[in-house]
Amino acid sequence: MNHQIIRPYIPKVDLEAIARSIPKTEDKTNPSKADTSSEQPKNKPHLRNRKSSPLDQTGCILLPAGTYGRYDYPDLLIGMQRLSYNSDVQAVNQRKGWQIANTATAPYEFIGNINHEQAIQLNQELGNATPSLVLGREFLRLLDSGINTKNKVYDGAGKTLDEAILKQVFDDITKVKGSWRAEWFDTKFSGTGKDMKITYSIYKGNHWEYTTEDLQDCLMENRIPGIVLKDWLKNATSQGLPLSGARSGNKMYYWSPQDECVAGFYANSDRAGLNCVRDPTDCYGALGVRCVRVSAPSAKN
Amino acid sequence: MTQELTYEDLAFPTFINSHPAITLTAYEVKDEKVVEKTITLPFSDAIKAAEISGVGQLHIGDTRTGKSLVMMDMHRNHFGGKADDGGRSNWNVARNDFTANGYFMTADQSKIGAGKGLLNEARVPIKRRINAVVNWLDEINLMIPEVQVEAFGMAEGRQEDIQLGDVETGYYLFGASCNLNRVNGDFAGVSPINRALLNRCGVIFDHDFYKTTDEDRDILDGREVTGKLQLAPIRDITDKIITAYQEIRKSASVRDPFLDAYLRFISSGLDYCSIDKDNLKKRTWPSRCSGCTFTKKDLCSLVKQSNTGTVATLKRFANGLKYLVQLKHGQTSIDPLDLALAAYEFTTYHGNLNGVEAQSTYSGEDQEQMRDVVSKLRDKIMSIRRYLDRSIDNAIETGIAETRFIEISDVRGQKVNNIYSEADKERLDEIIKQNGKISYNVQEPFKRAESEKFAKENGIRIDWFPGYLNSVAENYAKVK
Repeated sequence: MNHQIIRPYIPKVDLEAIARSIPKTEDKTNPSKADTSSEQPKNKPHLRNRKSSPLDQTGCILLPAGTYGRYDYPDLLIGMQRLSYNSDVQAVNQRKGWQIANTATAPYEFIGNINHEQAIQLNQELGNATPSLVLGREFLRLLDSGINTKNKVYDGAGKTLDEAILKQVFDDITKVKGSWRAEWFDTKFSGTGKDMKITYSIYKGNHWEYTTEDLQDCLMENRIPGIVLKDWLKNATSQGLPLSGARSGNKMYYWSPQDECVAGFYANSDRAGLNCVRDPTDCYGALGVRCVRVSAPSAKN
Repeated sequence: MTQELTYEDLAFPTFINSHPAITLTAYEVKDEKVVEKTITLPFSDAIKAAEISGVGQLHIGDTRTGKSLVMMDMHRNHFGGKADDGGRSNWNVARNDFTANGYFMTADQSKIGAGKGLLNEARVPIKRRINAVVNWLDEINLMIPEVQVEAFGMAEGRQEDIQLGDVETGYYLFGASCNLNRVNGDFAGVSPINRALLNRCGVIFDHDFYKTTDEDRDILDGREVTGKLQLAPIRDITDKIITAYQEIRKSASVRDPFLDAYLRFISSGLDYCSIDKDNLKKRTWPSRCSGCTFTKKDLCSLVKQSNTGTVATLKRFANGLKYLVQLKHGQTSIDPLDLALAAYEFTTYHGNLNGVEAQSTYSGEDQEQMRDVVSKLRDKIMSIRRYLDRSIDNAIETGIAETRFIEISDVRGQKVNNIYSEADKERLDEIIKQNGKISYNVQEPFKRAESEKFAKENGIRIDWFPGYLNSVAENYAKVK
């Protein structure tokens, strides 16, 4: 029971939700207008908000080719930010009749209000994949190595990224601070007890596909709080889950896998954690998705 | 290695009182959604919270209401009984021949005799009594006020300049009981309690007000009737309690910006008098209250501010309540305003209530008056809470003491407040330019004129808040 500030619950004021609540007229429903309204607040230090392609090379981080978990992957580009509204998303909206928009405003504007299926489909429509828990963890490990061991980490254009940028991305995902930030992983759980399975996306041959495996022995109890984030980054099962004997800590909440649930990460002003009991139909403003795409050869360092 | 304290460890073997005494709002984030719930703690839990916080406690009430019983349960079943018999607790029944020196000091016989120096040099402390972590003093008002002075040191945790209790961790508990029947005054030999001694008891548990419930009586009916004070079995969980106390003390020793702010209402906020030249409560309070024409005197005339020492004790007790709730209900976030006011409600007999009002309006029911004070104080704080919480939260997050707010009226005319920022203002201007169906205005509720207006409308001060916020912001700016 380490000391934490005794905080009241302070509901967040969401200006964008207020803006959306205004009855729309024809011109003002045009999503392209919503796009122009996604400028960063000027006096807050935020990650850059990119409005071009979500896989703008400089908006991605290169996860070098390697064996992650049980599978080999080529060079991958992973978004520095969760997907945000841009002309590509607008085109998907028009093509599919969807109404996807930026719903989260901090620490940058990003797309939310999408359930798990919509998140996966959106990435597919954009020509991306959605990171699995394995890749999500590897992404954090990469950031951590760049911050703490000064490993060189590159953006998609091959430029070395400053430690400050890496820390911003790492904090955006894991730091207990600010408003809600949450994201889906493309990893599902099914079954119970010893029959529990895990299904996640892998890159095989030249395409993304799903693999379903028996869930390896992992931490199967909720830790509220928590586990030690650094421990999880250092040691995990090949499916990305904390080890069964994971040390207790107070930095990272952990909800263990349950039948018909999906994995995701989240952080807010009160806590951060790995949630493996997220209902796939969940849908709220600050729950978004990150993208991953195989790097084109030119993007290699 | 000391095992962790559990809620079950703190059970009282003989004392029962499930009278609802404390209501707290807790909120949990489950599956990333905020779920609020109300937690009600019985009277016995309030006593347990004081016990693990090391907050001195005075049990008052009519005869046979459970005062000595609960103390005896803690003495024997939590602290292992008398230190003289190997336990960690001292038990005394207050009498006029009691002296602290006589109890805690003795003479070292090896130092007595011709040529062995002054007799005074043979005086040595009785270590097992000095090292006992608790001192219980039963029936304290059977001492005359002049003799009650003998208990001051005990209440403060010292015998002259020797620290009582567990020196290493600082854990020390003082507990006393007294019959308090001010209206009827029917107890022979009962003396008034010295107010300084009352103030040294951090919290006061009124067993008359928090009566046992019918359900408690159902349980008691099933027990053997002995007519005697039941003695709980000997058990010693002192080390577990001390471990819990260390956590609580640590939490209470650091800044807790929301809780500290609400506690400041009890010290600084209540220090307001409309007719005083400096608008502060001074020695004349409450003698001028009856003739005061201030129309909003419903709160300021009922109670005066608590002193700084009391507020520090309340912070520890509030942290103890939080700790107990988490032992009982698991990790949960508790509303700091509820914690502050719940702790404050147990300071009824510190002498801060207007005694004239206690008699004339509340017929001697001090605890009713206190409940009224807490309710009114809560209402007044709630009227500005949206500003307090957001500005403190912003100071913690950004290290900036911003006291301006944007009040937005949405399309349904509902108003929401947010901390002021240029970026939000620009975004709102943009939204209004595009749609024109909402409006906003910038508010400064802590400006001097607004603070004065608030004091005149509510009888409490908030002019201390900007300075307080600055200190919070400076502290967190340094941390960052």
